[in-house]
Order: sequence, then C-alpha cells, then structure tokens
Amino acid sequence: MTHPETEERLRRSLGVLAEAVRPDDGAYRRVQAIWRRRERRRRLLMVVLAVVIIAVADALGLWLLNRVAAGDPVIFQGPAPAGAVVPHPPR
Amino acid sequence: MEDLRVSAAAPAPPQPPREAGLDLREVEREAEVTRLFDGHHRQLVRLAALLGAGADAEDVVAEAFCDLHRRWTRLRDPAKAVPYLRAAVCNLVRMRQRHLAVVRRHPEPLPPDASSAEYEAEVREEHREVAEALRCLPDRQRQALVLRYWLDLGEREVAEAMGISPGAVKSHTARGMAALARALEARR
Repeated sequence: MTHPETEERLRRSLGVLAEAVRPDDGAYRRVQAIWRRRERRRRLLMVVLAVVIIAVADALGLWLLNRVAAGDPVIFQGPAPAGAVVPHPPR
Repeated sequence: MEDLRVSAAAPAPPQPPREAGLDLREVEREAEVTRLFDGHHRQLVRLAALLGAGADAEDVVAEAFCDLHRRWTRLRDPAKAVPYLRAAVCNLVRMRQRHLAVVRRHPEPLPPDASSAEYEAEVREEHREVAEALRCLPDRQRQALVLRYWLDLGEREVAEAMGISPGAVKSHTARGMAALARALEARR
C-alpha cells in the first residue's frame, strides 16, 4: 500500500471514527458547574489565605508589643540623636 | 473644569448586566468560554477519542475547558484559545495514557465506545483496521497523524498543539505514516 493510498484511507477512516463519537448533550451544564465550583473554591482559598496572613501579622505585632516593659521605648532604643527635632505634644 | 461640569450634568450610563457575585470581567469570561464550548466542544471530544482517550474523552475535554476558564485572564490573545484547548487535550490524553500504562500495563482501545453495539454497527471493518493500526503506534506519531489528517492542521499548528518543533512533527508524521502503511499491508 503506497503512502498516498494510506493517507486517503486514514482520512476516510478518521472521519468515520470521529462521526461515531457523540458527545453528551448535557455536557455544557456539567462542565460549567465544575468550573464555577472551582472558581468559588479558589476565591475562598484566597480569602482564607489573606485572613491567615493578616491574623499572623497582627498576632506577631501584639506579641512584640506585649514583651516591652511599661515605660520603655517601643521603637527607638536610647536617647534621640543630636539635632533631632522632637515635636511637642499638643496642649 | 468644563469637562467635569459636563460629565456631572450628563445622565449616568446604563449599568452593565451583573449576575450575582460576578463582575463584568467574570461575565465576559463566562460568555467567551461558553461561545468556545458551543463551537468546539464536539470536535474536541472527537479529537480526544481519536487520540485514544477512550471513555474519558468527555472528561478530558471538560478538564481542558476548566483549565481555559481558570487561565482566561492570562490569555493574551483570545484567538489563541482554540490552539490552547487543542494542546490541553493532547497533553491530557497523553498523561492519561501514561497513567493507564502504569496502572494496567496494557494499551487502551482507541475509540470511546468500541465495545458498544452501536459503535460496532457504525464502524465498518476497514475503519476498524485503521483504528487498530493507529492504536499500535507510539503516542506522538498517533497525535501527529490525527491532527494532520483529521483536523487538517498545518505543521506549525500541529507543532503548537503537541508542544514540539515543526521538524519533529514532520518526523513523527513520516514515521507514523510508514508504520501505518506497513501495519495495514500486514493485515491484508
């Protein structure tokens, strides 16, 4: 069998084999439900992740603040550098 | 300033239709994927079946559409959606065949409903021989032949769908065709 003959037979057979495949009529509803469910799950996961990150950052900040004794400076250690302008508190 | 006054005096533009929980981009994405589904689902299921997805052809295509839906915002050119779907189907079928080869240790029948009476009645002996011969080819050669001779794609499009170079497509097609001719000759 020559290649042009084989090519022609292959085309014909692939056409017939493909025609015999009949997709499900309700496929769209099924697939749409899947992609919507996955989208909802993805969004929920993002929200949970954001909440967890914010909660961890808050907890860390509160823990650090809680470790500082009352009256100690929280941010700067030691006296303010020379020439630094310290604003007066409002009266 | 003038512009601000004009725009403030103009009537408010009509609000775009919104579905519950979906913004406008979501609606557009849904509409585009739905349009692609209407136009290409049948052909993609047939492609998956011809590539050897068997009874999972519908699931493979469903996965490809879900993947497209997820990545829609990252798709730079909507015209690339169909080649993307074809490539996704090819990859998923190949992954499924590898998985089955490991699980079952024997190749999967090519058409999805090969055992059903309806299928048997529709597919004549000569076509079944071609299906059998195709089934015995390596995955890459079968993919190249189906994409080239069923979808009538050019070498570059086949290469895009298979994720290989056009030169490799030429090689797989030539080898596949030679092996197919030999297999069909042997069955005479």
